[in-house]
Amino acid sequence: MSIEEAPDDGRLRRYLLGLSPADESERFDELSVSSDDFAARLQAVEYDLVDAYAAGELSGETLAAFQSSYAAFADGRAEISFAETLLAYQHRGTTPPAFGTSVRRDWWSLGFLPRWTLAVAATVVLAAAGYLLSENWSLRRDVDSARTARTTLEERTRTLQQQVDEQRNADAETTRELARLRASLATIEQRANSTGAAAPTVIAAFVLPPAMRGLGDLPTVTLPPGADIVRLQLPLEDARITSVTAVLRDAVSNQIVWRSTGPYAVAGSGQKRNVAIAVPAPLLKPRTYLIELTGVRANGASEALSPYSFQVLK
Amino acid sequence: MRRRLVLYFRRKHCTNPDELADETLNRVTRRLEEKGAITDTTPARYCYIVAKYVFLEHVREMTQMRASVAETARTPLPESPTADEERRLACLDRCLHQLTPEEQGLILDYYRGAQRERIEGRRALAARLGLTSNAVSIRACRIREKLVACLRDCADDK
Repeated sequence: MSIEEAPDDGRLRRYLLGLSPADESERFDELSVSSDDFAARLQAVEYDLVDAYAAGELSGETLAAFQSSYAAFADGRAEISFAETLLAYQHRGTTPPAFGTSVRRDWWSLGFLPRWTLAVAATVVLAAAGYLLSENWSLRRDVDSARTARTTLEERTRTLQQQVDEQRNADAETTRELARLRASLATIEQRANSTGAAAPTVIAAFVLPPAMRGLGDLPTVTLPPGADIVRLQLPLEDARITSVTAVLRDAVSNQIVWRSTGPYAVAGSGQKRNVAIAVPAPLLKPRTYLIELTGVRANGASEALSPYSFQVLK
Repeated sequence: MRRRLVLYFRRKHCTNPDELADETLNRVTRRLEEKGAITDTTPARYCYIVAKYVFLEHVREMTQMRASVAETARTPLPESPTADEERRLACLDRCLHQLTPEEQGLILDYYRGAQRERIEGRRALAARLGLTSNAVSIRACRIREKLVACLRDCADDK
């Protein structure tokens, strides 16, 4: 039976309320099971009947029949309850807009979004959270490394500062000693000038060979106790040099121990040219020294000459 | 078919329509196993015939229950207190939001208004969706079934 052949809504209502003739009721019973279209139509009419009851639209015989055939049974009461609730919901004025327009929902429910977008959003949030956790872990590791590096640098800085302080103390001590020696030298020179024949005590005089390579050939200067001045005679190879200035340097610490106050004239000629310099003996300790000469030519040009090295013994 | 059988037994005010529908289908299945096919009528009509016999047997066996049902029928419906109505409204709101936007729009539009307004609204809805009135009606009924079940579960939870 097609839907077009189905009876009108009024007959279906009477059937649902038990008001149809027996033969029609029997026929509708059969159609409600055997015909898909009739079953669907019947259910739609049944729901409308329940809605009409909930809306108070039934009266008289129809109302009485409904109350006895629906309202008295559990399933019927459930249908009535739903119809009443739906009616109240629509009358409350909170119903969503008509179908075909956007359905209003609270923004926090995210109901305006398709469900797949929520799934994508959730995936993105999870990925972002994972990335941030990874970044956080990486940053923590970097911070730990930076702290370790900072600690190491601070320790290194303290060590270097300590070495600098020690070096400054050593320099200050050297400077003070140098000052004392210069004062002693000045005294000696003054005494020599004032006494004439009474020359200062030159305790030791040494001839140093030209600069040698290798410590095996290092000449030694043995100072006797009480020596005031050490006279060092240094051979020169460059015939153009007419005078020199000298600097005495500690070979280990590279500290300048003594510096000549003026130029020394070159003596001799040919292969026997040399210069003699006087160094205050108290400056010399048992260690290795370098003498650095700066040669001055007749035209005033200067040049550094090869250094002389020697070892002091006491 | 099972759904139609359940509705048939429900309209007959049986207290256990699901069980009776299953019993009907079991008998039809047994017949098919024994005979291999139903040849004397259509399968759907055969189901109705079996369902009718199942119903009559049920009526005979449940005389006492029918008396009880008749007694219940004379019991007036309890008045629903306001709190209960609010609770059911909240449940319906929740159930509606469990539907897809399309389902929600269809069910509310289909049952919007009263009498003439409702009829006109349904025609407009069918035209808007490009469906026949019958197709829209079937969809609305299916959605309503879901909502009724959801509302019942929600009320049981609270």
